[in-house]
Amino acid sequence: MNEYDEKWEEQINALLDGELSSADADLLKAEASDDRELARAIIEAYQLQKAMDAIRVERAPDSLRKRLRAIPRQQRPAPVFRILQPRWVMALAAIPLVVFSVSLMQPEEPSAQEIAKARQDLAIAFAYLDKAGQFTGQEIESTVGNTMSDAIAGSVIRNIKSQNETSKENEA
Amino acid sequence: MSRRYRQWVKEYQDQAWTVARYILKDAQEAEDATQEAFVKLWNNQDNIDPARVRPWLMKVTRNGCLDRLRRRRDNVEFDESHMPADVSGPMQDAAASETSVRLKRAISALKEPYRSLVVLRDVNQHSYEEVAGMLELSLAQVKTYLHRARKQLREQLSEVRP
Amino acid sequence: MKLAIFKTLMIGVLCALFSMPVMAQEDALKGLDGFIDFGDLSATYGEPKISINIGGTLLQFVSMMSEEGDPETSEILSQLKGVRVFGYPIVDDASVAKQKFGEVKNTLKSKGWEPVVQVNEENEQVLIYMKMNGTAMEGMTVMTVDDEEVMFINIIGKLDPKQLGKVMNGFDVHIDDAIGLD
Repeated sequence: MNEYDEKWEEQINALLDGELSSADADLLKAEASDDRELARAIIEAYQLQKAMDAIRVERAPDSLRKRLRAIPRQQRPAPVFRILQPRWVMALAAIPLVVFSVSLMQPEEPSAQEIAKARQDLAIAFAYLDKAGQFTGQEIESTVGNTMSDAIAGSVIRNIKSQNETSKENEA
Repeated sequence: MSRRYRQWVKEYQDQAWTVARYILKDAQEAEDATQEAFVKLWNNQDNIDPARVRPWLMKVTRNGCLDRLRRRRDNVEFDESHMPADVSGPMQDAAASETSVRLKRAISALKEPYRSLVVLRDVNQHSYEEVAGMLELSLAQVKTYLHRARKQLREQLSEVRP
Repeated sequence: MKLAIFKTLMIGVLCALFSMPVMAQEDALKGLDGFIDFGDLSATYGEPKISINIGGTLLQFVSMMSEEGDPETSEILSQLKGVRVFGYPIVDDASVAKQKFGEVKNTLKSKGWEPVVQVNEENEQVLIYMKMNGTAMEGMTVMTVDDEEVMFINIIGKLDPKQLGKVMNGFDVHIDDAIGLD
């Protein structure tokens, strides 16, 4: 039985990878015509390559796909204000009750509690809008944004500019 | 940030899963390892060159799988090279030919780094350079080890020896 | 500092009364051009996990209360007439959820709403419609569905989506924790 060495192995793999020059490929094939072991190795290498082509990347199971999609939601940092954090309760206790709106004395107007609840609800509503907006990404800015810049009064545009200036000042 | 991440999940979840599946064999553990890799991707996404995300992720996935294998060894004594391939895992394809089944089993039974080399280069189709980076090997080492791995696979697949 | 105390006050008040009642202002909003009738969503999806109706007076007061600490947010809120949000968990498969989308889309089209954005991915869909009166915006409707929940959002009034981020910063509350506190 003829032995083939590491050099032939490299040549065979280079041949399969298409990295062997045509001259070297001819040499290898010529050598194989006299070397049964080498010929067998080349044939088996082609068979292996064909078998490799038949196996594909595995499709990730649905359970894993779901877990991977949930990662951003799970990894999102805790909000600045956690209602159950004791320090916020203590901060609340330190604020004089006089700060509450006198709307309690005017029955037609919403109570301070109702206003606070509405603010929380608005935050939730805008958070969902923002989530949808993040998903649609550039599309919402390029589509709705252009439409809105025609529709909305100039005062809003001025607000955006002043907001940006405020942000820059805060970053400085 | 979320949209970019979603795109990466869509593009690479199958490849990362494939790597984990071949190395760990156990489906549940492979899921856990893949999820861990994507958590790391989420937490480091601003620090990774977007053009290098795929090799980065495969490297992290592989390293996580190897850590799990080492922990397994600490708890249970077994010789990985003799560990039977999980037939219900990568082999769960009703239409797979007998050769494909044998090949997958043979790949699963390879020792590291040969197994990773074959999965990353021949199954996932990474370039030699990417594989070298992922396994922290030189290009020459990658080619040499891959030759040896393929030779082992050929020997297992061949039916008749002179 | 003032803003921090203001926010602390607002969030702190919720400690004592946290619940998710529906704000009974739907009837007052129905006559507005930017209002959209989603139909009986509970009949399709069951019990909502979130139900918000804020309009008129309440919005004005929240805007006024924001004015000193956050004038930009106050300005944005002052242009809104109503905010309605209905969210439901997906219990079985999302195809039923998407079917309802089709019905609402037909309603929107019949009422002269314009489709602005539609994004379809493997497990998530987002639709955005706007109601215009000439060059003035009367309302916006956003519908989203993924594997876990379906959301119907109707903003009545003017809202520039580009300003959402600023409003979000003004409120500084994350969805998951806000919902999780129900």
